[in-house]
Amino acid sequence: MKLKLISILFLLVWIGLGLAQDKTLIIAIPSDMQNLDPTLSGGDVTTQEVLTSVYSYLIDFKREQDADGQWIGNADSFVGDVAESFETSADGSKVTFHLRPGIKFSNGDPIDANAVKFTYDRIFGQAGITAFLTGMAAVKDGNSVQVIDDATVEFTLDTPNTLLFGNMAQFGHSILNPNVVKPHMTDADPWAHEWLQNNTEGTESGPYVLASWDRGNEIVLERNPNYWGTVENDKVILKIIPDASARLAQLQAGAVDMAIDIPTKDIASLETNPDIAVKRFTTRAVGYLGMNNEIAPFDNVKVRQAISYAIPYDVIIDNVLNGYGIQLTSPIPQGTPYHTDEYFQYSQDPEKAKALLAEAGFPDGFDTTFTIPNDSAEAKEGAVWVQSALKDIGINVSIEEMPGAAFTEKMQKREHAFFWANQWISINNDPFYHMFWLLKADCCDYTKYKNDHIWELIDQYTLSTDLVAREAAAKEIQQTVIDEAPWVFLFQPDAIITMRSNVEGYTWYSADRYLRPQYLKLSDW
Amino acid sequence: MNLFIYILKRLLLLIPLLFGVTLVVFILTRVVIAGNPIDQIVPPMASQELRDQLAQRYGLTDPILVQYGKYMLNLLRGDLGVSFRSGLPVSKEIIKFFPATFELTTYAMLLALLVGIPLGVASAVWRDTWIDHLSRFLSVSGISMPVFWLSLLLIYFFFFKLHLAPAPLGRMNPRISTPDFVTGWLTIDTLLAGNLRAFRSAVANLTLPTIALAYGAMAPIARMARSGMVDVLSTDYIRTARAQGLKRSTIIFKYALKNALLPVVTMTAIVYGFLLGGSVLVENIFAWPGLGRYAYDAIASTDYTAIQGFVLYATTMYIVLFLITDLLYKFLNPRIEF
Repeated sequence: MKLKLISILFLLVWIGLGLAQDKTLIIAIPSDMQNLDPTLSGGDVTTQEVLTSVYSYLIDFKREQDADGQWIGNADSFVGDVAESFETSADGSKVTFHLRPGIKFSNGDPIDANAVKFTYDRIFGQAGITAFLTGMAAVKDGNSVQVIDDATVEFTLDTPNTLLFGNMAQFGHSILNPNVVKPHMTDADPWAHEWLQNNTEGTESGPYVLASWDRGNEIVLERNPNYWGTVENDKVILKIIPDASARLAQLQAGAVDMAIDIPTKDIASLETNPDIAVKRFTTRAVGYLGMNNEIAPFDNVKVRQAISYAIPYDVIIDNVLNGYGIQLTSPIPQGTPYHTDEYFQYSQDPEKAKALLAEAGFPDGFDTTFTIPNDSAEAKEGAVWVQSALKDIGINVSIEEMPGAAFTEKMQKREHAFFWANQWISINNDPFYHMFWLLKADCCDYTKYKNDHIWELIDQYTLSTDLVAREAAAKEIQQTVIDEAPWVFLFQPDAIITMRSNVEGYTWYSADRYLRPQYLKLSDW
Repeated sequence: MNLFIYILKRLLLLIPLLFGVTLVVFILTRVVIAGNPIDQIVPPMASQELRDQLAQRYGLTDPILVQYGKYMLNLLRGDLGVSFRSGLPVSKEIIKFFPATFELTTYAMLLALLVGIPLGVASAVWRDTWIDHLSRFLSVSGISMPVFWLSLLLIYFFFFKLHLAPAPLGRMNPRISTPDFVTGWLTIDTLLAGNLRAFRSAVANLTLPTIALAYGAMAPIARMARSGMVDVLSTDYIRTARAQGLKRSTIIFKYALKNALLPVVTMTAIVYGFLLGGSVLVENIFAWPGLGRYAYDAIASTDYTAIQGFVLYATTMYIVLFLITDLLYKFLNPRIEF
């Protein structure tokens, strides 16, 4: 009897210990996710974070340690993920992917060539952004993706190029389970968008399954038992805490292990706190002030140059970003191949700015409006500095604050004259990819920049394997665009990651900036 | 029977009212609030063709009156439409977010009444004494103190400094699993599930936001109770009662209170209706997954159907509350005839 009691007691203690060692991480995030269809989701970070955690793609960025021992995802180096290996043919027209043998979706169905083919047929059939990006890299349609055998898939490229891998290592290419998705495809909804935007069950190919999604409250990810790679924890709770000071307080108190999006003004106080680890990385996000090249007086290149000479760059970085950022010196950010700052010519020089304004025909300046989104504290603060600096050269600026959604709508229509651009980051770390979107594409050339010669260069070298000519063209474009000043080149902000100091394994993926929580663990586990 | 017809009449009045409200909101969201919901569901790189295709799928290309007609037809079938952001039915989302707001608001309201009424009555009975001054101080500060500031103060002292309250992480400690949905009230569902640890966590997480909301709600109730009581105490029938030598407590509790509280009932309905719309600030600070945040997010992302659905909900809430108030009036004051 006594023995029985003792053994039960032992059992209870053992269970208790087991429970106590439940490897759960809690991460405070600012907002909920929206739409989980990998190929037709919006631009919000939380959705993309979760997609990256529940799905795998054929290839991913290589995870390695940099010179300081910090783990990074190399934006320019790709390794197989669902594919165990891949090779490009000598002429660059074919890429063959050899799938990892024996891997399974979360429900146990095999991840094979058939699933990959289904995924790409769906991508091209739905004709969304992912189809466009894949087509941009010269893999034109479903016929360009062929099944060789159960474990081999071949992509055909119309033009050999360097864009493909960067365009493939992202959530749009999430490998889906045909057995699960097909039953939800109907005539009205041929690609099961309605099911996929709210569900992932059974089709998860990534490190986690979506265990629960309590809207507005929390998203719970649990380890996918069939995943083949590293997963250091059992469960990740993404806790939605909209208020930045509440996220900060909870990180300080240890109620959460990690907090996303802490304002830069609070970072300095965290850096001296031994319980908190603060990691800083220069991002490739370009922060600029847009000047619409087709709206007077900004259609005059001298006016744009004058403004570029009037802005107090350092003051803005020190005050708006609290020093957490660097000067942007080219349309191609530092960190992207072929970036150079040798052509950058602007620094605050009111005399030169006034002279340029006079040459432009505005010796007494002019009145104008600077438009900002009202949901950005940075934009509000930056606008005041812009206003006061431009007043010194005779330009009277009135600040127009617009609700976020209205600001975005007008920006997409490219109707802003002089505005605070949201920080753009190109997920593919390729200079021509980046310049195509920001200086040429109808959607995102927000300043209506136009230069036939530059556009020709972009067209010619976006898909090219002549790396020498590509680099020369990239330099020429940078020189011209800096001189023509469609933007005030403002800054590249730092990404700042704040966590408890017992969190290990953090990996900085500079291309997409997602956390990939599978590598995170606590030192006391 | 008269009562039944009265209720029916009042409920029938709902129809033209909701009709008017939907029309106004429909026009407001589409004409006055700038922004395009399509921007929220596709990334900036999306081509114009894709945008057009989506606009068509969501019926945004129809003339506005056609859109309104379709919306009303669906509404008659009880269909509030589908949210642009989530792709889920709006009615389902409101039901999902409602319990959090309902639970928090109801506790805040109860606390406000429990404190506000005695405070108001006491300050009327002992006019110009310290309790009257205290009551006035609390009311004025309750009305004038911004609720987000009070919330942050509460968090700072009770969570951050004194560690008496849990982290403002929503309705429950995220490390404890939520009980099965029965009523949606965590304080009830956890008890039904017999999970005392979860119950304690739910109560602890409710405490600070309840106090923050109740403080503001208590102020108008205390003022109403005071002025109602002051009025009643100066009436002839109270003077008569006094002259007949009735005990003070009998006068106050048996004769004065019932009449004095009538305006408090109305005020309660107004405050409660207001709170049930959700408090954006308190919900944001305490990470409370309620309707205030739902509505705020819907407006920020021009989610037309969600905004419309929320306004319909809020309108219905007010009307139902006012109806209940009127019925309570009859119960409290039999002289009222419908």
